[in-house]
Parts: sequence; structure tokens; C-alpha cells
Amino acid sequence: MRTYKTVIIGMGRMGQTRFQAMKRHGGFDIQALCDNLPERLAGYECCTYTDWKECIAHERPEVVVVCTINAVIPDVVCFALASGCHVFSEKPPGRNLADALRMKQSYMATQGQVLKFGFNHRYHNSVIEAKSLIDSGFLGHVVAARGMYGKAANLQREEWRNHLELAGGGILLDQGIHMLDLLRYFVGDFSEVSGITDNLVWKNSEAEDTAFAMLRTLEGKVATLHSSAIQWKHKFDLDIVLTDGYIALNGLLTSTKSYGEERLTYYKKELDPLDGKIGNPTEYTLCFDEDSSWDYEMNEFYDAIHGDGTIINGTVEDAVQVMSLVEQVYKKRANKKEGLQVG
Amino acid sequence: MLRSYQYTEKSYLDYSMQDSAFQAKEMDIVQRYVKNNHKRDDLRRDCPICGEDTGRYFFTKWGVDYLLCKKCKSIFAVCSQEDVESYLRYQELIDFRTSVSYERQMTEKRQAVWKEFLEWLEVRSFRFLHKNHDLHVVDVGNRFVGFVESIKVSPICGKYELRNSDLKMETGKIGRQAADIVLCNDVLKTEYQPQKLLTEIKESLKPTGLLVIGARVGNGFDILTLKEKNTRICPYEHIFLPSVKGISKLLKDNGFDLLEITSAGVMDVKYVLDDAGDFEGQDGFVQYLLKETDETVLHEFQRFLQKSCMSSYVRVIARKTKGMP
Repeated sequence: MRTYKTVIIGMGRMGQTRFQAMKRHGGFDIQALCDNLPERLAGYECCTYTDWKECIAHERPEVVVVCTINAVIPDVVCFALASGCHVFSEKPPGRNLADALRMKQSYMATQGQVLKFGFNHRYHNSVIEAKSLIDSGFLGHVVAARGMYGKAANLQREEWRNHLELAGGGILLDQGIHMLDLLRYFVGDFSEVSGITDNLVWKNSEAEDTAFAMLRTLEGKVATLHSSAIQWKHKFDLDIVLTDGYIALNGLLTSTKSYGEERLTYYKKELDPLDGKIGNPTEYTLCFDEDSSWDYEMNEFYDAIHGDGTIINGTVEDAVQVMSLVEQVYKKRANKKEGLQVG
Repeated sequence: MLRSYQYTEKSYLDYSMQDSAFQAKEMDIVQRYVKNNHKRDDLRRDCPICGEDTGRYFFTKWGVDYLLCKKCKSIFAVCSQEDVESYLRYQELIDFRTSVSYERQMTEKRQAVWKEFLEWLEVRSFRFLHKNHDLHVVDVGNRFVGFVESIKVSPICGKYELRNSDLKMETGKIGRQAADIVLCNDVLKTEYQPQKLLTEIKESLKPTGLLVIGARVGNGFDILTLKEKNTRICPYEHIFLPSVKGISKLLKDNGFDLLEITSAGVMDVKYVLDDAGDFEGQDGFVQYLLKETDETVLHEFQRFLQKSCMSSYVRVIARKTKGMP
């Protein structure tokens, strides 16, 4: 197996997760790690840096993995692309749409390099199954979806996520972006967006603790999102309504298991059942007890670099589109704060 | 492997898979055959999966001993291969099962189950083959005319071949390594050498093709609870009841990657309620569950069995390990 000289910039939780996934894959020769906090680099048997630019310039890697805070992501991605590297970047793709467009511009100027963003949820088994079910046509076609993604967060804690200048947004950009990406994935591109973001509990926080969005495609398919930092228990629910059936994704398998069991339930429309009981169709539920999402994601990235495939999930276009949705929801917030009518 | 469970929000406590009069007649024919032909003396048998002397006595039915493998937890009957082969050719039983009246009542009772199976197959084949129309389907051991017809007219099926069946039906031929799907429903139970069956199936499948097994499993609630009292389990109709662990090992050892195990069985609680009699001899928990709780609890318990892969009927999807011939 061909191995690619790799560096990881940012060794917080996501950097460590990507490090482990790349080790398991075997196609990445991790030569250096970088973090501005030296204590995060202790115990690794490779070169370490606290300056990302120096790390990339000195190591001259083929692959750069970007797991930094949101504010730094665009700088590292653009520099790595300009240095001729393939890049895997954590989500969100920067703090705002301008950041995403800047990275897209850098990518367009490259010579066939690969750029992939970590919209990891697309690789969860329930999401893979849902996509397969939809694509099979067994349940007709999607007409509506509603997603709820919530957690228990302390927005008063002193961390970069709670500073707009570093994070770019609150719960919508931090976590809701995954659900927005899935809504796009299942429903399609949205042409109309309306939304509300607010601080329902954490009144003094810069970042919002709640976001609601309503979205509609040109064909009239509708989706809603509720993103919450004040759910007080981790929760992931996505309902998809189709012309001939229904799919529900409940729970998400994570390392902490705090989002509950990951399940997919589906049923087919049955308006003329043998037992005469309308509204009680046979449900099929699949429960998953393995999370291989990090590995699937890395496989796709490796295959694209190696020329055995292309980036299907987490393309730069996905990044731009989802950041555009986020920005449109945030604009409604700005309008409201300025006393303008909420659209 | 993608390990998933599947269960259905539906109570099967009033459901039956076969007309009781036909079931009694069928059992009578089978029992007469076994009692007249089974030879007990000097019989020994290794676990069909582990291949070792790992079996421990579990129960005896109609004079045939059943062992439980201490390694893989599969259950198997102590009998000779010749006796089983001869049983599978037993004309009285074949005539009974292929009679018009038997087939008609089976179609009546099982049409809904077959329809659900084919819908499930449509979904799963798209998941693993990215295609669910006009597939080449080899069907091993199917003995129900209604089921064969349902498969043949299903949009999944483009070309169909029936193998190893008592049914006298002319079907097409699917060449070597040309099958998209090999169906193997209720076949393992009479397999003396399951490895041989898997070798034949491997020959038929395309490299990316799917093996779909439907099987009664030895780790199921009704099997372990009822033992010889289970009116639906008998020699030589059931000489091999692999556990989920056993099936996994069997497939791996014979060049298959297990993609999915679905615990599709919905009848465990119903079977135990039917056959346990006064529940004497059952352990305290099972007695309390069956005698003192209500239908809601029993339904939830059945759901728990399915979700935990402890129901006695599973569906397995496997694919040839990459690089295997």
C-alpha cells in the first residue's frame, strides 16, 4: 500500500480521533503533529511543532489534516493547498461563508489536489442505510424532513467555542451544521431559508444556544431544523417523510454513547391493511452497534488521493452550500437585532 | 461486519405459520420414519462447525440425542449421514409436502411472510449490490410452490434457478459464478456437512454476489427453553441448529464475510406459550414471565429477543471474501 507523508495540525479531541483513524487505515505515514499547546503533543513518536506554518513548510508533507479551531482553518487549508498538499479539514469550513469561499478559491487554483471536509455524520451506519433506502426508491421520494440535534452545553465556560470571533457562531455552526448537511444530503439543495437564533437560557453568551430553521427546495420539498445547546441531554433525531413511506433516525453511536443507541426505523405506506388498522404499518428497525464512520471517511479520502475514487461526501461545494445556509439563518438574527422584519 | 438487528412492531401471539392439522400429520410421518430407522448404537458426532468432540448432551427426542457444542453453542443431532440422506428422499413425506392441499395451505399461511421477505430483500440487495432489479437468483432447497412463484414474479428477479428441491419445477440455469443472490432458506437445518453446501454456493456466486441465509438458530429462546418439548423441532428435520456465533464462524472459515445478521424471528414467545404445557420444569423467571405477565410485556420480550439476536430465526447476508475463488 502506498503511504502518504502526513501532518496533523491541531491535536485536540478531533486531531486525536483522526490520528487513530489514519493509523488504523495504514495508508498515512504521520510524520509530524502540531498544536499550540505543547502538552497535547506529549507521548507521540513523531516530530512535533507548535507553529503550523513551520510544520508544513519544514516537513513538506503530501497530506495535511486540519483539526484547528474554526478561525484558523481557512489559513491552514489555503496554505496547505498552495503548498501542493492534499487536505482533509474538520468542519465547520471556517467561521462563515466568506471563509468557505476563500478555501474554494484556493482549491480551484490547485493542480488536481484533493480537499475534503469532515462531515462525518454521512458515514454513520444509520445515515448510510437511510441514503440507500431513499436511493432504492422503495419508499418513493423524499418530500419533507425534520431534524433535531441537541446537547447539554455550558456557554459560560471559558473556551474558544464560546467566543464568536474564534468560532464564528454558536450551536448552529458547531453542531447544527451536521444536521443541515444531512438535510441537504437527503432532501436536496435549498432555495429558501428562514430561521431564528436566540439565547433562550445563556443570555450573556456571545454564541446562540438555540437555532430553528425552515428550508425549502425549488421543487417545494420542506425541511426543518432545531439545533439546541440547551437540550440538557444529548439527542439526535431525524425524520424523513417520503411519498410511500417514512424513515426515522434516532440516536447516534459515539465514543461516549451519550446520544443513545443508533437506530433506523422505516415503514411503507399501508392505506389498505389486511387487518383494517390504518396508521399501524409494519415497522422495521435496524440498530447499529459499531461506529466505523471515521474509518469509512478516511477510506474515501485515501482512495481519492490514490486515484481510486473521488470525493463524494464533504466536497468543497458541500462546504460552501452548507455555510451559505448557516449564513442565511444568521442573517435573520442580525436583521432581528437591528429591528428589521424576520423573513 | 455490519451488525444490525431488525424487529417488527407487530404482535404474533395469534399468528401461525402452518395449519395445525397439517402440522400434526407432517410430524406423524416424520416421527414414524425416525422411530423405524434411527440406529443409536455406537453413534458419535463432532460439532459440524468446530469439527471437534465439543458436544455435550442437551436433550433426546424420539430416541435421537441432541448435543450442544460447548465452543460455538450450536445444537446438532447425533445421527448418521446415510440416515439423513435417506430421510431427505423419504417418498411419503415428499408426496405429502408436494401435495396440492399442503402447498395451498402453506401459501395461504405464509404469503404475507414471503411478501415481507421479498420487500426486505429488495431493500437489502440495493444496500449491498446497489441494484435490486433483474438479478440472477439461485434458490436452494425451496419447497414451497407459492414462494417460488412469488420470487419469480418479483421485480428483484431477472433470472431464476431452483436447486436441491423436492418440487418438480422447470426453471432456468444460472452458470458458474453468475448469481447475484443465492437464497438458502431453511436449508441448514438438514445439512450434515454445511461446509460442502457453502463450497457449492461459492461456486455459483459472482465475486460481489450475496448469500442470503434464513435459518433456525440454536441460541433462540424457544429452542433453548423447550428442548425436546418443542413441537416444531424434531429429528431428522432439524439435525443442525447453528448458533449465531456458530454461523459467524462457519461463514468465516469457509471464505465468506458476514455483512449482516438480522434476527427476524417473531414467534419465540408464541411457540413457548404453545408448547410449554403447565410450565413445570421451567426456571422461575421463565415461568413468571409466561404465566404472570400480560401481552404487552410478552411483546416487549419478543422485541428484546429480536434486538438481541436471541430469537430462533435469523437472516444472514454474506459475501465471498475478497480474493476467494
